[in-house]
This record gives sequence, structure tokens and C-alpha cells, in this order.
Amino acid sequence: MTRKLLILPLLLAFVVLSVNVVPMPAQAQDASDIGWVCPEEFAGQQLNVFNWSLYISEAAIPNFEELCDVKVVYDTYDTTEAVFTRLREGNPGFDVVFLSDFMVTLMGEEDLLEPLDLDLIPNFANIGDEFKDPAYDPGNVYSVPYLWGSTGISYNVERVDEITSWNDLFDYDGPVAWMDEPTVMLGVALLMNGHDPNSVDSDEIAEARDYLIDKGGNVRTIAASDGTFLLETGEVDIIVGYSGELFQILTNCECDDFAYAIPEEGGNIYVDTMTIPTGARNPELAHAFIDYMLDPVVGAANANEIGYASPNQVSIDMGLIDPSYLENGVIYLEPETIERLFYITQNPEGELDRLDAWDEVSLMVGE
Amino acid sequence: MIDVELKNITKTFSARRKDRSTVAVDNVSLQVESGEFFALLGPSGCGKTTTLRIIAGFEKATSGELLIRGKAMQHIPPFHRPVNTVFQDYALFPHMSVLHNVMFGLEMERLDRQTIRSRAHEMLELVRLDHLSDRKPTELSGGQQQRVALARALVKRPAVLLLDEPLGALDLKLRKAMQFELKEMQSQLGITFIYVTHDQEEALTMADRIAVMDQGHVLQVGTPDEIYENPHRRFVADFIGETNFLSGEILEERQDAGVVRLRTGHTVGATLNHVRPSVGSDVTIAIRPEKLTLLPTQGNYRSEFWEADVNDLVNRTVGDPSTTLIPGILKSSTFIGTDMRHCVQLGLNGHSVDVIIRTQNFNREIDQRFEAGQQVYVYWMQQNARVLVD
Amino acid sequence: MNKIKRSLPRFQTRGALLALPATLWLILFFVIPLLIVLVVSFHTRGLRGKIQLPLTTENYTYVTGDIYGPIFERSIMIALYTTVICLLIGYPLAFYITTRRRAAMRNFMLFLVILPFWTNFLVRTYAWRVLLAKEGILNTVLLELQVITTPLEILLTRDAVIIGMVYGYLPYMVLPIYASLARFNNQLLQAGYDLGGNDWVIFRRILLPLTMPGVIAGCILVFIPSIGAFVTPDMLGGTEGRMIGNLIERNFRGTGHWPRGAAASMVLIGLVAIGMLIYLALVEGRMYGTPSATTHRLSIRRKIAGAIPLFSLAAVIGEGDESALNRVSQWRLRFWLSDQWRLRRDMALRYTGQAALLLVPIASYIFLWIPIVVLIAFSFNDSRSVATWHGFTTRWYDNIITNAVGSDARFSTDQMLQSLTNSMRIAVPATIIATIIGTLTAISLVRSNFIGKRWLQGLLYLTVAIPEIAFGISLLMFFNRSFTYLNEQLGGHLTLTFGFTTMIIAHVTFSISYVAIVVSARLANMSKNWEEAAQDLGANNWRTFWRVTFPLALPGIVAGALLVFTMSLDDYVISFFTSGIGTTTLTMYVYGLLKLTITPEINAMSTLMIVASALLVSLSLFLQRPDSGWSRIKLGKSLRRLRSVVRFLFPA
Repeated sequence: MTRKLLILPLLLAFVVLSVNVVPMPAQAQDASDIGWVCPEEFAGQQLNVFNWSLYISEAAIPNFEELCDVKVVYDTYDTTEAVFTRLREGNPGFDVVFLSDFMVTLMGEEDLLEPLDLDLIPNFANIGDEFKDPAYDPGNVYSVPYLWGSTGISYNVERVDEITSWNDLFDYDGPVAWMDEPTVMLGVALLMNGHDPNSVDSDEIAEARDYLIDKGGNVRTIAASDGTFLLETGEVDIIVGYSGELFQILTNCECDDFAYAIPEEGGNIYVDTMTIPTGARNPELAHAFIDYMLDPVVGAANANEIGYASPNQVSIDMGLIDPSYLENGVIYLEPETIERLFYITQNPEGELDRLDAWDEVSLMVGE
Repeated sequence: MIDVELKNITKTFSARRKDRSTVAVDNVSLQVESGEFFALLGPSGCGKTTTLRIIAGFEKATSGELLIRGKAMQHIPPFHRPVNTVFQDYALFPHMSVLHNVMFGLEMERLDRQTIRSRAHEMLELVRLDHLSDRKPTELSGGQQQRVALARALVKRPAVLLLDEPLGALDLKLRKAMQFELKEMQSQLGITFIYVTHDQEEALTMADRIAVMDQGHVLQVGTPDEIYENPHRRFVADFIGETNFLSGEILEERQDAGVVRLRTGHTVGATLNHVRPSVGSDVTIAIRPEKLTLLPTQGNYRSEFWEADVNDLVNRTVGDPSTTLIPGILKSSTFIGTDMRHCVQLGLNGHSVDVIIRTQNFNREIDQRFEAGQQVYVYWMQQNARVLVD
Repeated sequence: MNKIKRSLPRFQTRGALLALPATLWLILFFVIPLLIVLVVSFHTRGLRGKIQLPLTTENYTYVTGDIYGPIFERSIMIALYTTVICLLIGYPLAFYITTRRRAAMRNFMLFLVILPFWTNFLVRTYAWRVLLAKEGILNTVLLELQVITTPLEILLTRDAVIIGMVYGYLPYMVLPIYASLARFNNQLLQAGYDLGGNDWVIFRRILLPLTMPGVIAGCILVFIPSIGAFVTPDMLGGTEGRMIGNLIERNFRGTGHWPRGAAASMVLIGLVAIGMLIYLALVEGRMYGTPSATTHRLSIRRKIAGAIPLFSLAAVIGEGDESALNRVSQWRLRFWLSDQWRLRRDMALRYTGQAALLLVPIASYIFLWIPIVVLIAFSFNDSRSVATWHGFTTRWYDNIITNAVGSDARFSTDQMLQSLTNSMRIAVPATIIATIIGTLTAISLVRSNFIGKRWLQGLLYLTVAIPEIAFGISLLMFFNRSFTYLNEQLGGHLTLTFGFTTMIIAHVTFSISYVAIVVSARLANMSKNWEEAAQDLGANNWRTFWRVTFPLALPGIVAGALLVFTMSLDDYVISFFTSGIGTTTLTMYVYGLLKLTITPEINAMSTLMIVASALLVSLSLFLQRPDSGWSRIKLGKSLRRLRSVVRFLFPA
């Protein structure tokens, strides 16, 4: 097995010789383009970052390493819930952890996050007001927003008429996929029954459960995080999904076969944030990194490359965001649409009811 | 000098249930002399292989003592014992060539490569297989495999070579040839051989001494001659060669002979070598078929060695316990090449017994005079009839 | 002699000693975590998913109730189908591989079975989705060929789960059977034919019984883990294919319901344990005992009967009621009595058998490689999608290559290559350690008896049975707590933390039993005589092992090591929960990509890995002599031959 490792470079060299190498267009920005200055002498230090894979622009990490003369170790996870479990059993040394909004609430309450020193993050001022002091983290004690998106309905325009309401999904008679996010799905059902999407009332949750079971006959799968695949390959016609996901397939296919809608009843807004977990080895450098990420140029690059919306108002104002993104109606939303969106607040009261309800829903739909 | 000595060796195989435990070897004591060809003979399941495995070190005796060249061996692992084994199925390493199989044992002695190689080749030459040294064991015939196994064991120059039915898988002719070869090799090398076999003929032809085993016990140890001519136990007499058993009651005891009344009613004399049964007790007389003579009821009898008038003979034997002549009816005669095998019924209805008589096929005319159903005499001498206990 | 069970009392303590590493390892890194799961399962879920008192049995009531019960049932059924299909495909395939005459060919064929699994798990599964989708490759081809008129609905059904699981678990069936078949003595088959058995009889009465250890090992390694599988059902099954593993996984997620997940895990483990107890009671000593070459028919019956409770095949084979058996034999008598018929039947049987022995392997190889072909095709996709085709490009390779040669490092490619290196840094040592410990364990289990042997066997099966998420999280809890304690004790002289070591430990823990089971299957078929012969010739235990046991057990050891390496590369859950800083593996990295999209760069990486492995293996096979491994004599001979050729060509 070890020899396999040895042969790999040889093989690669072989392929280099045989394949016509076309150098990639340099899409990475240069560190010199960034106005941000490393605030302290961090030279030689190490920063441990925990994030989704590639949920950052190509150049962000190398540039930061160059600007601060530090080494960044970038580890990845697949779900923010897994991070919660992982960090609840001790922090092995992560300095910056990217977290979903509701997870900030949860981990803050569990003392798994360090309060931020916003004085060390001057670029926090760049954040748009609507993203400051959010419901999930009042006063931005633990988190600053990184990117945001919405959860709505993505659908195949060739097979489905324009979607304006959740009823268009629930009453559709072709194959659909829901998402395996109990809070979102139950939230929508609560909304449809005229309740607060974050309700903790057992009866209301039970009502939402029954509603979903009733409407779930056409559900082919409750997809963990890959509903887009099913939409893209035509396996299902409608999915409940993240805006960012749909944008990925639209970019991939360079077509307009698919559309995204925030139904009139509302949808979910999510913000991915940057936090410093308890037990971080280098909180100073972590603050510097977060500040760096909020730089208009850096932030815009992240948003543009990933295809998610930036909460960085200065980036938008400076025209650094790809204009097509601002207008396509998937990534950035109209202010009145944004008003229809609800945040998930991880209220521990209703958790168990939701858990049980979702167990039953996920086992009873589609059969 | 004594090479291998077993003192009261017992081996019990325990089972989960106590009552299912088996005693494979029961209180066996043996001494094997240096340079001897020693055979362990017995039927399947008699404990002979277990005894051999105890000597080799694959089994640990439950109790008793094992000495090889005077050294206690109970706690010595097989690879530190000065013995080597030729396994029943040879156990040649399938992943090594013939040469490497033979070299293996020497490599274990950490000899230098050159010595190992030359000694292995030497040994392969001795067994006349040097030309096949690159072959894999599976590419050899049975006899060749056997010789590789032998070479592999002998190349170690063991003090004692253990052979576990090594010729069992070979055909008769090859077997005979190998018997001869083995014997030859043994006398040449002067190595002590302990040879396990269930073939009494093999044991008789090859061994200097034989230990006959049954159900874990050693019944008798002796030279082939002793074992054959003077078996102590009925089992030994029965297992080695062919024997006629005549049961009766002992009437009289003398120095080393006794008078026995057979079930058939005849009174005969028999030798009492190792047993002293009390007068009146039941005994068995064993007589080898070739020690019996078949005579016509009248006329002249002429054989290879002697010639007599039958009537004279009848008269002579009357009242003489050292010879016996009993009338009978010839039931059948079978031609078996070197010999004729006759079956004669002695005594009359209800008390009759059949005996087998072998006569050498030296003059067919003599035997051709006999016909089934004919009245005959059976004649033997007292020293050939032995009183045994069961 | 046969009746007397030969035993080696001297090896008893040594046998126990050989089992010691595995025993200690499993007690420390498996039993303790298992106890944690057990303890957790009796707790109550508090706010935010906290585990708290009071103790309760409510979780067990819940997970055996109406909601989970049917899912347990369905999981067992799917696992059963998977096992049976794997066996039906795997046996002929393994037989085909072992009957190749040249060792190089055998190794190559074996390698072709395992190689597809050195690609990334997720891209492999994506390839299956592309194949099975309604508008996927399979349906397109079938529609084109007019085999069907409407597209088959396979993806997101139970069938898709079974296909995916058969695919994923096939090597776990093939390798143990291969290990027990390797160097099978053909004379035994010939003897069978000689005694008048037809092909079926020979298979059922000789080949199958003698390879039973391999079959049993294979069935265990497929059936047990497949009950608790969750990624394949998740990705391929949709709502119809949901299995118990999915529920367990969900309960352990974030603020889920750990006690409930733990209870479900314990029920799963308990089911397996009960099955194993029945099975071990019935076939006691078969797998780990000393099988004699003349396995009696009765014991085979018993063996099959023994497998029944485990595989719930009672209804299919069963001991049968008398009358049914009688009816069958009468029927046999009436129809098959005449010689003419028997000859015809046997010839038909032979041709069918021969056809099957050729077609099944060919079909299996196609089955194994089709997703890989799709995967490779998408590595040239001119789009970030691995789902739909958008044209040809080599840019994904260019990325990797330019990055590898260092001229233009891209962060994303760098991350991927770094994670691959990390994977190797874990897989290689984990494979070596697990193979060593597992082999020692197998030797001690097969070759000796010692107190607690049964317990160790049971433990090995349980490590296969535990759902990976439960194991991963309990290991996380165990490591965290013991590190906290130890670090306090050490007083800062040395700080223990998560990292490669904890990940390697975790991987070794779940791998030991795979090696032990596969190597046992091999050893059980291997006569002890060779080892005794070596000892007799003066080889001590160490040298006996290296010169005789090891080379003869090598097919099993290699098979075990290949499985471990593959599992280690594929593992996500356990790796994640035992990982530290800078230890992201390739699989973890690819899972993390699901937030955005898995790009063809992963396919390209997987393709390069396949090509590299294939080149390496071809090289090693090329260097091997046709009929056996390296031997100095042969090397010398070929050198001499080479020299004479040179002399002939260039005189003087």
C-alpha cells in the first residue's frame, strides 16, 4: 500500500507528459488587491479553521496566509449538527468554526462558543443592518454573518407551472423531494396551518405532522443534502431546497430549465456565520481572520465564487458583487420577499415533539 | 545405549463431558535402543500414532516420563527435540520446491547457505530425486513425495527418525521396494527408527524389535521372531499372522508343558511358556497354520522334509503328549500361490472347530491327493502349540 | 484416529497470548465505548439533546414499537436479500478467480474485484444514481434496445438499495470465499467425480462443505453490516428504502435523541448477538475448529441448519417435514431412475454449470465496473456537475496535475490532495496494524482452545454489528473523557488530543474482526500438518509462522488487508468523530462538498487513483513469475537465460 503512495507522483508525472496541459485561467485574486492589513504580528502562528469543504473562495486562505504570514489548517465537515456533537465532546483546537444560524443559538447556550470581541473586528461595520443583531444571536455576541441564503422551492419549469405557493408543491401529483430538515419542513407546515413556524406547542406540531403526512403521498425521498441531483437528472420535478443549491445547477447546465421560488406564504432564511469555539487556541488570530473575511473584497470573492448571498453591504455598494447574481432572483432576494422569510430559532422546548413528529413523517410519507 | 525411553506414559484426551474422555495411551513403558529399527504395531486407534506424536512433541503426555538420549523431554517443544518425523501424508510444504522443502530444516539450524545447499542435494541424491529438486511437491508421484519427506527429515541427521505409516499410501510393489530401501538406509545411516504401522508384515520384515499395541496398551515387545513364534497374548497371536485358536480346559501341568482337553473332546499337549494357568481353568491353544501337517488317513505321507507311514505315525502318537494327531474332515482347499490353504473340521457336531492348515506348494501332487469331504489327520508337535491367556 | 480430537495443549497459553492484542484492544476501544452506548440507552433526553437522568427503559419501548419495528423488519429483509444475492454472485466469481491457472491472473482478477472500491464512496454512489435514474443510462439503453417501453423506476426504491448494497458488499463476500478456495485440492473434486457424483453433488457435498468457512465468513461480513447501513439507503433508497441505520443516524445527529439512537443500536447489536449465539451453538467449532477433510454429510446438514436462524432461511430449507421429503424422493425415483435420463440430466447440469461459471463472472465484472466507467466518464465532464453531461474537458485533470507538480497551486485541489494524503496516512498504518492483530487472532482462534475464546469470537462479531455512528460517537466520548483525565494526571507534560492516532485506533478497531474472520476462513481449510512438520524440522513458533503458516495463509491475509484498506478509505462517520486538527480525509472532504456540489475533480482524483493502483499492480504482476512468487533460483535462471541470449546476439 505504501508503494502506492510512492507511485502516485510518478504516475502524475507520466500523465503530465501525456496530457496536453492547459493552464487554468488565474481566477484567484492577488493578495496585493486586498486592502486589508493584518493587525498584529502573527507571523509563524497557526489558525485552525473548521468549515464545509470549499465553502470559501479559492484565494481567501492563501491570501490570508500571505498577509499575516501564518499557516491555516482547514478541516471540513458535512453538517453543522455533526460539528455540534463533535465540539460538545471537547474542542480539539479549532479557532474558527463556520456555523448555521440556529446552531449559533444552540452552541451559545451550551457555552461551546467564545463571545466575540467586536472591537477586534472593525469590518463588522460592513455588514448590512438587516443582518446585524439577528434573532438567532442577539447583539452578535457569538457570531458574525458570513453568507446567507434561503430555503424555498426549486422546480423543473418544463414540467411544472410557475410555483407561487407551498400548495403548488403539496398538491402536485408528480414526484417531489423534500429536505431532511425537520425544522424547515415542520416550520412550513406550521405556517400553512396558520401557526408560528417556530411554534413549540405540542398540538400545533402534531397538526403540522398530520398535515405533512397527509400531503406527503408524492414524496419520492426526503433528501439529506442532495435533492438538486434528483431535480437535475429529472428524477423528481420539485424539490424543497436551498437557493444556493439551485444556483449550482443553473450554473452547471447554463440553462433556464429550473426555477426557484419563495412561496407567498413564506420560506426560510438561513445565515451561515463565523464563530470562535470555546477552547480555541488562537482567538486573536481568529478575530483577525473573521475581520479579514468581512473585508469587502474578500467577502465579495467568497460570495461570487460560491454563489451564495453576501450580507456585506459594502461589497454590494462597491459593486464588487457579480451583477447577474444580484438580479437573478435566486441568490439575492427582493426586500419584500426577504420580509416573508422566517429564521429557525432553535427553541429547546419543542425539540422532542418535533423530533418525534419528524420521525413519523419521514417514515409515513411516500408510501 | 538407549535412545528413547517412555516411562509410564499415559495420554488422556479430555472431552467436555468427563465420561467421554478417551485414554489413547495407557501407562506405556518402552525402551528403544540406539540404532534400532523399532516398530509400533497395532490396529487403527490403538494409540501408536499418539505415542509417536508424544515422542515428536506434538502431544503432551498426561502423565509419565519421556527420555530421549537420557534427557527428559516433556517440556521441550518439538523444534528442540533431536527427532524428526516422516508424516503419514508427508506434509510437504506446498508452496516450496522440493529442494526448499529439504533445505528448510537445515535453515532452521542456521547453517551457512553453502552447507545447506550441498547437504540438501546430497540427501536428494541419496533418495535419487536430485533431478526433480525444482519441482513443487504437488508435481511429484506418491513414491517421490514419500522420498522427499524422508529426505527432508533425514537431512537433519536426527538421533531418532519417527515414521508414521510412511508407506501407507503406496502401491504394493513400491511399498516392498521402499521397505527394502528404508531398511537399507537405516542400517547405512545407523539412525534409530521408530516406525508406526498397522501392517504386521511390514513390521516383521523391517523391524529389529516390535511393540504390539492395542487400546492404548503395549501388549508385547520383542523381536519379530519372538513376537511371531512366542506371542504372549491372544491378541498378539491373532494380530500377527494367522493363528488357529483351540479352546479347552487344562488338565495337567508339567515343567513347561500342559495337557489340555479341547472342546472337541481330544486331549492334547501344549507348551506353557509365559502362563501358569491353574489346573481346571479355561485356556486357549494357539497354533500357526504352517505348523500343522495334513495327513491322509492311510498310506504313505511324503513331504519336503519327511516321509512316514500314516499308520506308524498314528501308533507312535498314541500316549505321547509331545505330538498330536487328530482326525478331521477336509472342508476346503484353496490355492494361494506359494501355499495351499486347507480348512479342516476337527471333532464332531456341536463340539467341532475349524482349523486352517497351510502347506507349502512344493509338490502339487501331494496336495492334489486331498479332496474336500475326505477324512484326514491333522498332526502337530507340542512345542508349536502354545497355551495363551486372553 | 479420526475420532480422537487432536489437541495441542502446549499451545493453549500461546493461543491465548496471540489473542491478547486483539482482546485488549477491543476491550479498551470497543467494549468500553459499547458500554457507553448501553448506559446512554437507558438515559433520558434532556433539553438540547443532553443525556440526563432519570434512567428509563422507555427508549427500548419506543424503538421496538410501531414506528421503528417495521423498519427493523425491512432492514433485515433488505440485508437478507443483499446477502443471498451477494452469495449467488460471489461464489461463482470467487470460484472463477481461484480456478485461473496462473497466479498472476488470479491476483489480477481478484484485484479487479477490489479496485472499484478505491474510488471515493460518494462519487461511486453518484455513478449508480446516474445509472439508475429514470432518465439515466440504464433506462436509456433499455429503451433504445426496446427491451422496455416505459422507463423503469429503480432509483429511490428498495430495489435500488439492494442493488447498491449488493454492489458495495460484494467484495466482502468474494474475498473470504476466495481465501477459503485458494489452493483448493482438486483431487478432492476428482475423487468425488470418481465416486459417481454429478456436478451438483460434487458442489453440494464436497466443494461447498469444504469452503463453508469462507461462505459463512462472507455471509457474516455482508449480512451484519448491511442491516445497519445508512448511506446507501439514504442516497439510493428514498422513502421506500429507509433502513434502521438512517433512524439511528438521525437520532445521533446534533440535538437528536441519543438515548433513543443508543437503544436502537443496542437492539440491533442484540439481534445480531442472539443470532450469533444460536448459530455458534449449532455450528460450534466448524469455523474455528479443526475441520477434517472428510466432513461428514450430517455435519453439513447441521451447518446449514445452523445458518438458518441467522439468515432466517428456515422456511426455505428447513429440516423439512417427513412427508415432503418422501414425496421428493419418490418423484426422484420415478423420473430420474433411468440411466439415460441421468446422463441427460447430468450433461444438462454440466453445461448449465459451465455456462453459469463463465457468465456470472463476466456479468459480475461488468456490474462492478460499470459505475466506474460512468465515474471516469464524468471526470471529463465540462461542468461542475456529476449528474448531467455537458461536454468533454481535461481541465479537472489539469487542475490536479498542475497542482501536483507545484507550478500553480489551487486551494481546492490542494485541499483534495492533502485530504488524500491524510487518508493514506490513516489507511496504511490502520491496515498494517489491523492485519497483524487480526491475523494473530485468527491463528489463535483456529489453532487453539483457551478460556474466553467464545467471548472473543462474540466480540469480533459485535464489532461488525455496531452501527458506525453509535461507535463513532461513543469513541468520541470515550477519548474525550479519558484524554481529559489523563491530561490532568500528566499535568501538562504531555497533552493527549484527537488526531491521526485516534483515527487510526478507531479504524483498527472496526477492522480487526474483518481480518480475523477472513483469515480464519482461510486457516480453517488449512491442514495443521504443515505447521507440525515445520516444528518437527526445528522451526520454532516464530519461524514456523513466517515460513509456513504465513505463506499458506497469505491469500486470506491479503484478502483481509484489502478489505481493511478499502473500508478505511471509505469510512466517513467514525473518522469524523475521532478526527483532530489537519486530519480531514478524502471521504470527509467529499462529504463536506455536499453543501455545494461534488465536482468532477473528485472523479478525476478517483480515476487517477484507479490508474495508479492498476499500474502498480500490473507492474508487480509483471515482475512475478508465471506460476509462483519470487524465488531466487528462478531469478538467477532467468538472468542466466538473458545473458545467453545477449551472448548469442553479440558474440564476443
